[in-house]
Amino acid sequence: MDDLDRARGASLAEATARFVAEGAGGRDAYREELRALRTAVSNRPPEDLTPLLDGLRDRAVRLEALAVEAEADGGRFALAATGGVAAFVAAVFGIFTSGASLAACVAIGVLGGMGARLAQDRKESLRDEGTVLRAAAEDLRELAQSIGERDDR
Amino acid sequence: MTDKPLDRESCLALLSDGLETPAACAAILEATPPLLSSREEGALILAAILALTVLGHFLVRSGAARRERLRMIRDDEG
Repeated sequence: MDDLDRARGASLAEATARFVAEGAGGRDAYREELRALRTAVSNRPPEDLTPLLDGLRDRAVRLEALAVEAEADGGRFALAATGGVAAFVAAVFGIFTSGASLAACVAIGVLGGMGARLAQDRKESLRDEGTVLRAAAEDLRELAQSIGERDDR
Repeated sequence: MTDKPLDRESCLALLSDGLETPAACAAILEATPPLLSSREEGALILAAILALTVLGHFLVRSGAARRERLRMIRDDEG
């Protein structure tokens, strides 16, 4: 792998990170970097392809692992959002029961509602992050596969 | 001016002000007990505070984990 490959790899890594962080806003730059890498690879002699193949496959596995991690994190927030909704419902229920303190119920209701909303937003953002990471891993696998097929020929 | 008829709220207000409550209040309060005792209410508030603390912890930890994931994606030269 030469310096140019490393620079392209780093550019693709940066574009992937931006795609993960910004969502659709970073998609075009990511696609552009992937296309540039694909074009560069298609001009390489077969003997140079083996380390590149290993690198791409390895990176795809790592991105997949990060996707699993993000999705697991999202699962925790799904649970937290349910808890927030339960707190909100309990507070509304408490307001209409004469025994419960109104101030405490309103505080729990507002905090529970806000917490549920926050947790829901974070859950969706983590789900999107997992989806982007899986897609990026899939792109790298496809690239590695196309290089492998060329290598076989 | 006629006195307002006694109900649960007015009895509780008299009690919380430390005033003497009419005898009818005992029967009214007994007939309509609060859905939650003050201990249960306290437990509910504590549970809500605990749940929100856990949520805050999740948010902070998840933010740190996300930054770490982005760093790993950027650093990866594969």
